[in-house]
Amino acid sequence: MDVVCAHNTFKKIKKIKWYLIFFCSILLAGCHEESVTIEQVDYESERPVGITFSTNMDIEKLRVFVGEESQTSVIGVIVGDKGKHHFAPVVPFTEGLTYTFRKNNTEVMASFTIPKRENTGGAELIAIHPKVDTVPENLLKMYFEFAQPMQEVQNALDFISVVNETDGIEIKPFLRLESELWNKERTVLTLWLDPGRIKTDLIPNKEKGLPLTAGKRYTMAIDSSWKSIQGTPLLKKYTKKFYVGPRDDTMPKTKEWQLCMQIEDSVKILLMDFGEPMDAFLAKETIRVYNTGDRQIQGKFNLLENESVLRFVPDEEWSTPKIEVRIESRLEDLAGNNLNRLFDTEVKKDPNQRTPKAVFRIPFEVR
Amino acid sequence: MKKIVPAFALIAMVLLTLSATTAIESDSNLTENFVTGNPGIASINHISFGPEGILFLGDSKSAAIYALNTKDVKTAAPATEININGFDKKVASALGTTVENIKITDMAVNPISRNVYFSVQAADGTPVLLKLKGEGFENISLKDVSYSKIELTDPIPADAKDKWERPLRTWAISDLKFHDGQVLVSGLSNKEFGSTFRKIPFPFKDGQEYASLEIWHAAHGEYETHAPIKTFDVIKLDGVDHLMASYTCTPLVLFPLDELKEGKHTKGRTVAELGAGNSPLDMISYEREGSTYFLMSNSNRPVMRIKYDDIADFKESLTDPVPVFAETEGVPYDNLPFPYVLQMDNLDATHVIYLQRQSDGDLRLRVRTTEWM
Repeated sequence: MDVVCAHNTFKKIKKIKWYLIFFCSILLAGCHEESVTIEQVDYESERPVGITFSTNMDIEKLRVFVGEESQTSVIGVIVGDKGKHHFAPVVPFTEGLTYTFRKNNTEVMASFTIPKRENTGGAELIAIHPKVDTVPENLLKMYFEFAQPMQEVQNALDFISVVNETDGIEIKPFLRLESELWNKERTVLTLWLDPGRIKTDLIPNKEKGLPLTAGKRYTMAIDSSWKSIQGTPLLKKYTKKFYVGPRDDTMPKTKEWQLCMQIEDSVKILLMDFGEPMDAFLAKETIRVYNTGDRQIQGKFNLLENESVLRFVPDEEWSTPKIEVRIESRLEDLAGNNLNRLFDTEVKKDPNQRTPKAVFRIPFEVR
Repeated sequence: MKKIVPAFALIAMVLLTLSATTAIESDSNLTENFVTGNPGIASINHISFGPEGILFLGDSKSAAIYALNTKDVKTAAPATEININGFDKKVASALGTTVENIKITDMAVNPISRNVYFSVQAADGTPVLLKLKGEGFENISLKDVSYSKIELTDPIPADAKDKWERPLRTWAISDLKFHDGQVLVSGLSNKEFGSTFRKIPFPFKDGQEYASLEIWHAAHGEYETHAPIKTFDVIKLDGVDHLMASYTCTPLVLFPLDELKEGKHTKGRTVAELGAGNSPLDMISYEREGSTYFLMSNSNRPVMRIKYDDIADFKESLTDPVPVFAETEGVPYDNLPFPYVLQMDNLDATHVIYLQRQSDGDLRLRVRTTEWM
């Protein structure tokens, strides 16, 4: 009987125990508030590529948003376990922006701001080609060379203005393209002066005339708000002043180029004087030097005298006295005239057109 | 036995339903030479779907065309009720940034799944491919994907001995479309000015044909060899495929596709002058009540509708100048009441999806039935 009584008492205690466990669980659950703690912004190659955070929440309920107003969550991937997680957006976070972690898209659980990096000197415009101060009336293109890769989104022409100082009017000489012409590193931009306006009798030429007018002075300004890929604006506002001279209606003639050797630090250097400024980038990539064994001589090219002289320094001593300079016909002068044809010409029937050649050759003796 | 027949019928129905709604199985070998991994896409300037859910991407930075196997081949009805305001803001938010830090470079509809894809370039240079999901987006990985690639090669000097290393040339890809087993690409170089049109057989092998195009510009008595094509489509005239190219200022020019060959200067026939002071942006076609129409969106004019029959019936070539500013000549067209349409594509046979800048600056994604276009 006692046993029975004891058994009943034990049963009652067990019941109370379960009530207690249930009660404590409720209490604990109440104390166990959901939270998100920001640990750190993660950087890769100095870019804020993610955020590390810890949470006791089901991460399925968590989303990252820009600020507190946006209703569209940031696309990304959350990885991690044991309460510590890493969120990586598709595109690195934007410096200066504040982001929120929200539960079920609404309740803000935590926020973080991506710090702006200190301006480490700013982006730099190294050169504008052509470098010469007087350009032909039918100038075809300009190159803008930067020290850092430049931003991908806005149109470059939003940052470049050109004023005809002689008449005091702003002009828009460049061809606007949806896909801009940058090199792969995004450090060199090519801008075409509207070719439709340069070519005689085309509609744009008839309507608006040439983009630049001979005898006028111009100032080109490059706005300092133009940013690099890293969001750093240009160091300063850059300006280039130039004068527009007469039209260039002659093809470059390699026979008239002056070649000579110059000794610098006991190294024989080849100088090629074009007699006029040439396209700065084409000049360096369309001209090569060969020895008598038909072997290309390796070396370094650079342009002097406002891009009218090409300097070639061989990597090794000249192996043969006789050399040959080979020039691809696609080399152009500032007006887009190449070795085979004038830019402003009719391809179909130009009586003065040379028989097209792919490569022009100049024999030369190293002395 | 009575029970067995309905059971078989049920199974047959399920199988039929499955075959009608699930992935289209293909025994073609279009993706035979595809590899899986990171293609190293540096930029996306244009996108266009080919067969079997294959998406072609034009990458100006890498001077290359990529074919991505999206594996998005489940047939579905299109979402014809799309009307999303502040579309660029939504894209920016989804990418964790603000609208000045992104550029929507193109839009393409998968003709099988009817899903809408967007290529986006971020300010830091990251290229992104997004798929519209309701009013949100799904990111399509560009780093772990089944793909093939072809580089846009330069014309090489005829003298093989004089081939030498050149810095990579940039091609601003102005348009890209898949047609009859070939990827058609128009582009412009950053070095020598000149429009080049390429025909690249797909699946990609080594070959590609490029052609320099001359047009007869209605404003002067000479051939124009250097104008860059802004957008194009393919039109069949008298059983022959023609490239219908549109240029700035705004001639519409036809070239027989099979005449566009390497080293051959091909003269086009200008069939319309659609007005100066304008640049075409996008071109699509659709059929309605047995007639084919082309739509062309523009930078400074509303969407133009051109009837196929009017192009086919126009046998002349415009050679005389258009004397009055912004006057038009040649094939007639209608101006539709949709200005500032930046992107267009066929959502299905009877709907067009388009991105339009509103007068208040808002960018809106909308769908419209071709009945009202």
